[in-house]
Formats: sequence, C-alpha cells, structure tokens
Amino acid sequence: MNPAPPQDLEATLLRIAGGARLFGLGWFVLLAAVAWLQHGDAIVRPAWLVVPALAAATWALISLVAVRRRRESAVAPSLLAVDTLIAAAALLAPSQAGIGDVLFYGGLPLIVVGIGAIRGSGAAWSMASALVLAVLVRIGVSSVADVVGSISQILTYVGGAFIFTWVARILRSSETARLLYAEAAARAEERAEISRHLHDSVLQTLALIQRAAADPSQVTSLARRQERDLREYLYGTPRSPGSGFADGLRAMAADVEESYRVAVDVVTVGDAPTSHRIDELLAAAREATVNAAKHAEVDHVSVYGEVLGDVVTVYVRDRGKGFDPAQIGSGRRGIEDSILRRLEAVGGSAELRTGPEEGTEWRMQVNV
Amino acid sequence: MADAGERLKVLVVDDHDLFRSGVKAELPDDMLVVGEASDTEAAVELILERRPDVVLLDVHLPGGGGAQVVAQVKRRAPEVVFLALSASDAPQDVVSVVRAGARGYVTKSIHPQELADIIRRVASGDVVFSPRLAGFVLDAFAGDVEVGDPELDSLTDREREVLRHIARGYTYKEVAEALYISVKTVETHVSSVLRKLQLSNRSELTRWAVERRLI
Repeated sequence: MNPAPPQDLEATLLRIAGGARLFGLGWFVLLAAVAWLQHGDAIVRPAWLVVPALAAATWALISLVAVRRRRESAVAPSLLAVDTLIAAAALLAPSQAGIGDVLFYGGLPLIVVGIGAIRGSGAAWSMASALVLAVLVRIGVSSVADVVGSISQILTYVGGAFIFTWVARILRSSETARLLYAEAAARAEERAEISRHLHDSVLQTLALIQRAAADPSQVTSLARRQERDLREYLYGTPRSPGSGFADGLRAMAADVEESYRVAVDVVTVGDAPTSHRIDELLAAAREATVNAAKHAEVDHVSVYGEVLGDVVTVYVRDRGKGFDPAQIGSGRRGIEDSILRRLEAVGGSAELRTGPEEGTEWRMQVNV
Repeated sequence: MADAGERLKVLVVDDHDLFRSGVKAELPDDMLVVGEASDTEAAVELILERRPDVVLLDVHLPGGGGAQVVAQVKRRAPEVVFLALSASDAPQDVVSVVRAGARGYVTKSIHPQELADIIRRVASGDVVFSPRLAGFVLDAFAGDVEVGDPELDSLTDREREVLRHIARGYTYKEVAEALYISVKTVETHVSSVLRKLQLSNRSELTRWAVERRLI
C-alpha cells in the first residue's frame, strides 16, 4: 500500500528548488561580471564568459515566470535540462580565464545537482554525469590543464549528487513515516469513537432491556429507540425537523414513539420543502398521532405522508377502539377542533373517520 | 403449494444465527423449517435440494446477497417462493430482491404472528407488499414515463389507489372494503404491480438495482 505523497514536504522542496536555481544563477552572473571587469585591462577579456552569463540571466527570468505561472513544476525535466546545459556551459567557458575562476564557478553546477536531487536520484545522477563530462571535455581541450582542480570538481559533483539524494530520501521517508503514524492514530481514534458510541448507546440499551424484560412495551420502545439511534449513527441520516416534509414527519413519529411507547410506522411518498403550511400540517399530524397513542389502546400507529403535485396529505391511522363521533368527551373534541382549526387557518382540510371498534383515521391536507 | 393438513416447508436464509433460531422458535406448528443457510452459495444448494414451499430470505448475505439467491434458484426451480426479510429499509435493497423475483418483503421487526400469516399467504400465491414497499413503488412510479413501455412503466389509477391504501397501513381486506372491490381484485392489482415492478425499466428502479450491482 502506497501512502499518500507527503504534500507539505513536496511543496517546500519545490520552493527550495526554485529558490536555489535563482540563487545559483544570480551568483554565477554576479561572479561572471566581476571576473569580466577584473580582466578589463588584460589583452584578452574572457569573452566566452559572456555567453553563459547572459544565458544564465535569461534563464533565471524564464524559469521564474514559468514556475510562477504554474506552467512547469520547478523540477520539470525540461527545466532541469536547461539548468544542466547552462551549468555545463559555465564549466566550459572560464577555461581561458584561469584556475581561480574554475573553482569559483563550481557553485552553480553543485546547486544544479541539488535541484536534480529534489526531483529524484535518477535526475541528480544524470545531471552530475553531464557536468563531469563537461569537466572532462574541458581538461581535453584546455591548454592550461588544471588536473587537480578538475578532479576536485568531479569529486564535488559526484559527492554532491550522493549527499543531496541521500538527504532528499531521508526527508521524504521520515515525512512518510510521520503521515503513516498520523493515519494510524486517526484510525485508532475512530475505532475508539465507535466503541465509545456502541458502549454508550447499545450496551446501555441492552442492559436496560434485560432489566425491563418483564415489560414488553418498554422492551419494544427501548429497542426501537436504539434502532433509530444506530441507523442515524451508521447511515448518517440525522432527523432534523424543518429540513423537509418527509424528514419532519419521520422526526415527529420518532418523537411520539419515544414519549408514548407505541410503534409509529412512517411511509412517505415524494417530498416538499418546509414552509409554514407544512409545519402546521406536521403539527396537526402530531396531535393526531399523539391522540391515537393515548386513546386508541394500540401498540402501533400507521402514518402515511404523500406529496402529489401541489397537495400534501398525511394519513394517521390506528386499529384501536375508535369511538362514536356523536358521543365524545370534551377532551377529544378539543383535539379534533384544534386539528381542524389549525389546518383551516392555512387553507387546508382535515377529516376524521372512526366508529366504535373501528379504529380511527385522520386525513389531513394542505397545499404546498 | 402446501395441501391442507400437510406442514408448510420453510427454509430460512440469514447470516445471523440469532435471527434464524428466533424465527424457528416462533413459527407455528403447521410450519416446518426444513433447512437453514447463512450464505449465498449454501442457500442456493440447500434450496434446490430440499425444495421448500417458502424461503425466508435476508436481503444482505455474505457471498452475494438475497437477490442473487433468488436469481440463481429461479433459473432452475421457478416454483420456489421467496419472502424477503430485511433489517434495512433502503429502497435499493428491497427493490433489488423483489425485482429478482421475491413475492413479498417485510421488515425483521415484524410480529411473529403476522410473519406466519404472511408466509401462508405467499405460499398460497399471494403477493405481499408491506406499507413501505408500497411507498417505494409509488415513489418509483411517480411522474410521467419518458421512454419505454407505457403499459409496464406506469401504474393504473386503480393500482395507485390500492398501493396508497397499503402504504397507509390497510390490509388487503380493508383495502377491498374501502374501495368497494373484492379481496381477489385487490390481489390481482397487487400482482400486476409486482409484475411491473419486476419488468419495468423505469430509471428509478434500474438505478436502485444498479446500486446493488444487480444489472
């Protein structure tokens, strides 16, 4: 399994690569200018130096723009190739200007190898090889063969490639280890959170169920509450009253279930965004459901809500004892009136069907 | 189909031991549990060997799922009747197993007495829709059909009316009384809805089926 690439570290390394390139090029241009001026009174000015120095200055600008505009990564192969060319030109150029300069300009090639190492060991080694080749060519063509200086340069680039590659690898692997550790820690935390939740809710409920074993209605109510809670936890469908008609109806049912120890089954078809009318319909549905839970003497109430075009309808039904609408106590009358008035106030309607031993069914309706 | 006097042969497929033993203990004396299986492959083999009248089938099973069991058995033994049971109410679960060929669907929280009644009904050829399944079907067949077979892809007004009553919690008998039709007519409507549910290519249904990797 490959861990995700450590993004922070890579971004930093790319910034370092870009900065080092500008620094190396600037340093080289500055030194070239100084060398040119110092030889100002000599018969032969180091004209060769002008070409790589101008190239370096131009390249500094181009690479800066390219990287800034995100056209290229700071360690794109094309950029690295130009870096290598300029460094090689710098190595070849001062061969006429004397030994001191040769050591002097060694800085740019070393930095270039470092930039290559940020891309990877392959890039670092091929760039170092190109530079070593340039040094060998210089030894071959130069009349003033500075063998000791050239060998020390070769060792510098090879050693540089080795050290830079090694440092980049260490940095990356420690970053990867850090990320793996952080990931493992996050997983452990998640597991701890799950077991905490299971303990707090499921185990507690199971304990309550064992204690309430003699009371079936309480056992059912505990089990249903736990079921709802677990579903929410697992599938992340929180009941948030007010987020829509269907959610509101389910939330209402869950609430009545918990308060009155009846099972309230909800089926919805279609949905509608919440509104004042819908809130009133939900409130009326709640009264009807509570009424059934309190008076019907049933363990189970069915709630059906549907949105058909512009019309939202809720049916609340129980198979309980029902009653004779002509002879009912003022308490129930009051609830009926309140349901009717509530819906009529928002242009809706309500209808009750019942009879002794026939159960009750409310049909409540509003327009969206 | 079971003759009167003969015990109804039931096979229980569920990966939860607790649920299987619970069902076994709760079924009445006129039903006989002829086998139990806990994964897809074992279930298919056992059903083909024991030939039960009704298979109680969990929607979620290791090794495939309830819908695969139905599909595989139907190919070789189309007479076996499946009743899907599920702890989940997700439409894709329910619809996938019904589309595969189950004759009904109920949730696992169903009362044992009611479960026994429903097993008898599916065994005698009825289709059993729970209120929730009726709700799913109404949802899936809502709106106009864009393309396809208008006969299969839409419900008649009468079918819609029957489903709405079932969704409201009515039994078939209560639906019949409310709509002034016979129970037999209610059953005919529900069978016809089941056929549409299984054969229609309405996008809601195929989407649910795809979510369960059925197609």
